[in-house]
Amino acid sequence: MSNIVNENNVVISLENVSKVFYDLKKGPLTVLDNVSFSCKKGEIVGIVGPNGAGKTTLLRIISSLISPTSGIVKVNGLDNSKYGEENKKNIGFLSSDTSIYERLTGKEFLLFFAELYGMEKDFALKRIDELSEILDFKKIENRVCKNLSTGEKQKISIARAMINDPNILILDEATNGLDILARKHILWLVKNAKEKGKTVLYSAHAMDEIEKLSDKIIFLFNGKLISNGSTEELKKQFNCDDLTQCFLNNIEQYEKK
Amino acid sequence: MNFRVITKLYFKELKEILRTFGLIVSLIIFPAIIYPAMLYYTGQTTLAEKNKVDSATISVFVKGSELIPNLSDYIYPDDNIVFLKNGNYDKIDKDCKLIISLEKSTDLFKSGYSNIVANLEYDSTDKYSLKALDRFERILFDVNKESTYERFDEKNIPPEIMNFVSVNSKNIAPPKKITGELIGNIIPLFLIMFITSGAMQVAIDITAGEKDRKTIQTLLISPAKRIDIIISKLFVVITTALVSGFVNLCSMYLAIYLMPMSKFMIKGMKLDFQTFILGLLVIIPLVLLFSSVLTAIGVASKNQVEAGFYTMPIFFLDFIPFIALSTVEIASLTNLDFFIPVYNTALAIKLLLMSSFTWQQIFITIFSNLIYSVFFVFLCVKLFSNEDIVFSGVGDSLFVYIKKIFMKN
Repeated sequence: MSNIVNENNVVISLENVSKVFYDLKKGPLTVLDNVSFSCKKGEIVGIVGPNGAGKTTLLRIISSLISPTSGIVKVNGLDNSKYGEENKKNIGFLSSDTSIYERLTGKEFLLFFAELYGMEKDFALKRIDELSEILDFKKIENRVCKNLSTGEKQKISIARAMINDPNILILDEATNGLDILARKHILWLVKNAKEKGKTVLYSAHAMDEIEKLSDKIIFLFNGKLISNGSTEELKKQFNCDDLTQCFLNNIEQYEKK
Repeated sequence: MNFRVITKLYFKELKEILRTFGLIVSLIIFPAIIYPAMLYYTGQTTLAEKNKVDSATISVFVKGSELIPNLSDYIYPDDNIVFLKNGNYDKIDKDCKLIISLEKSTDLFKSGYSNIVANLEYDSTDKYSLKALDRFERILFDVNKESTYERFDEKNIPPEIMNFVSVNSKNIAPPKKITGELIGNIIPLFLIMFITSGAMQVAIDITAGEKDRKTIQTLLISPAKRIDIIISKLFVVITTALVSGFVNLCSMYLAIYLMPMSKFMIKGMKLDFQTFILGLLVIIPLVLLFSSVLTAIGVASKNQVEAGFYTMPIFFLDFIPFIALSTVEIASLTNLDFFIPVYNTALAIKLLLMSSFTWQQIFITIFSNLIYSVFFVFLCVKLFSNEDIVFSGVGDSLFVYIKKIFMKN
């Protein structure tokens, strides 16, 4: 399996992935409909779509938080349906729904997660030291998290996502509701990951962020992948200079079909 | 299952609980300080009130006192009764606590004897009036007895002829059984109540609370298996339920020990080693049952508020077995009674305290509760493995499930 990763440099691959939820009033609701794409090593992939497009569901499926109704998801060549727990060890996940344990100190919180990832205590403490220097939270690491500011909590969250030095980072609207300073940490995280050759899947509403950071962009609409390519390719395809306009043109074309 | 991971998760949860002021207050501070203080205060106040009534001099009014001229001779000094001589009292008030109307009866007119009817008027809501009634009934009993003896004597009939059957009753129940009967209705009620309340708060906090605090997703993206996560949570609930039960029992014992009027209970409460071990063996499966039920409810709830709605009836359901327990006839118990959860444990503890149990009853209690617990532990694991339930709650999922069945048909 790992040879496949090495030969093609494909780190994440999705084949005809669908997810159906059941809504009380509406009945079966297809949130993802036959989505297929792949991400290569060191690639930053931006996922764009309006609310309800299926971005969070897609990222949760890749992270093995939920399973698809049909289709195959592979991470580092390993099928999530069989190796979900193993694959989680290679993924760092951050979203507005991944809060920190506010009754623990930052250090305790990070140590707890490091140990869940199977790291020895001494090694984990060294890794926490390393991250606290990089993210500059040394002074606050022994304070109980509930007493930290939003920005400080964000630093601890980022450190948690990086504690096991994963080769894949998944960021689901991680900058939502954050101020400029806290957002800066997330953008740093993405750039830093790229420098280290990690793969990043990134969903956000801020098109400028996506445009600036991504090597490849995926347009999701009503659970379907409607376009997929680099910023330049998409701009060329939809004959516009602005990514937001590209997306709107894409929706228009899609709906006409 | 990975016990290393379970241990890490277990200690993390415990650490969080120990840092939650509200939980510590309700699990430790209230049972250790507030409850005994309240019990002690209530006990002392009740005792003081009882002493006050016992030692009070109570005034009673007798109409027609000339019918029993030597009535005051029957009053003992510690009766503290005073007859009101002046005035005419027709109601119970702060000055007069009992009105006695003596009248001649014509029932024995033909026999040449006369007898008297005593009408006693009292107020059952007034402690002093009740005390006066109690004392005066004793006085009238003595008057009656002496007058009857005198009449028999006049006719040269031995007074003992009145008693066709002389009753000599003797309580052969051993002191432990008597105390067991007395405290056997109270101890299981408090014990189960404290175990439930201890387990309830923690179970909600570490399951539905994680959904509210948005930490459940943080935990689930770690490589820890869901079964390890839920088992560690279950262990935490069991630990706090046991600690809560233990702390509360100790504080209750202390409170009773401090109350002078309850000294007699302490003597009977001395547990021998066998009763203690058996009690523990009976309680542990119940703790496991409560913990798994409450954890399952916590997991199945959308948030803490919803979990609160579901768990509150469980808390009140605890009281139902005790209504039955106080009226149950020990001799009429069947083995089936020991299959009813909660009721079986309350019964078993009562019988253990009375030393009246059979091994079969203890075995059925332990075994049946273990079976129910296994079912609920399995339910916890199943619920926690269901992504819809973990991220939202069972309410919608249940309706969706029912709807799906109908849609298929």
